[in-house]
Amino acid sequence: MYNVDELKNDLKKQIIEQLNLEEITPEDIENDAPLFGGPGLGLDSIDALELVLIMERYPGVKIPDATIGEKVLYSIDTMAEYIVNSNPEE
Amino acid sequence: MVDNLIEVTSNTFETDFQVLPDNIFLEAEVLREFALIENIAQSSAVGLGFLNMSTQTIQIDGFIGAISKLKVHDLPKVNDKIFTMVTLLHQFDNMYLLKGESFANNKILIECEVKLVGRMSHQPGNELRN
Repeated sequence: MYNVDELKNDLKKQIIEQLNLEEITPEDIENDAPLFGGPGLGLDSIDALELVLIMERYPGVKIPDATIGEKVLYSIDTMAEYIVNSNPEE
Repeated sequence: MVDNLIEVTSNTFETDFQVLPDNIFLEAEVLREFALIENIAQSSAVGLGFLNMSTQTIQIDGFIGAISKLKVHDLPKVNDKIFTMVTLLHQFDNMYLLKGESFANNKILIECEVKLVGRMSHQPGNELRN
């Protein structure tokens, strides 16, 4: 069972660390803001590979293809929801 | 920047490359860092291309997306033979994360992670382009 707020904060910290977003803090990342392009973090498609690696470190999480990845990696909210729903203990 | 693909498994590739005197990346008879990075990237592309050619279903025509975790330990000299080992760490869709290490004279030269992005075609029989 995940504490969802802690999970979202953990995701933000990992994204910042893995993508070397040196001037960004977890507080700067809105839970519902798009991570790619536009007004959000402005990540590009190559960054998606790092996000998949972060996601698949959680038990039971597998992102099988880009179609699902596009939805799951939309925001911190969608990433956390997918992890919670993939947790074998749920 | 790759002479031979020596060995391939499902997730590792090994290549060699002889530093000849007319290599354009030589400076004072030493091969520069960017040439070693290119060698790792091309070794990755050759290995992935070979795997995909063997399935006769997918061709890769790609580019380097990113280089990270780069450590340069030493630089090879002219006439040295470089051996490069690449390990495929992860694949997602048409993106590949690989770790590369190059050696010469039994000493490590460089290590880094490479993200390659491939454009794929489901047309068997195409020539491999890197």
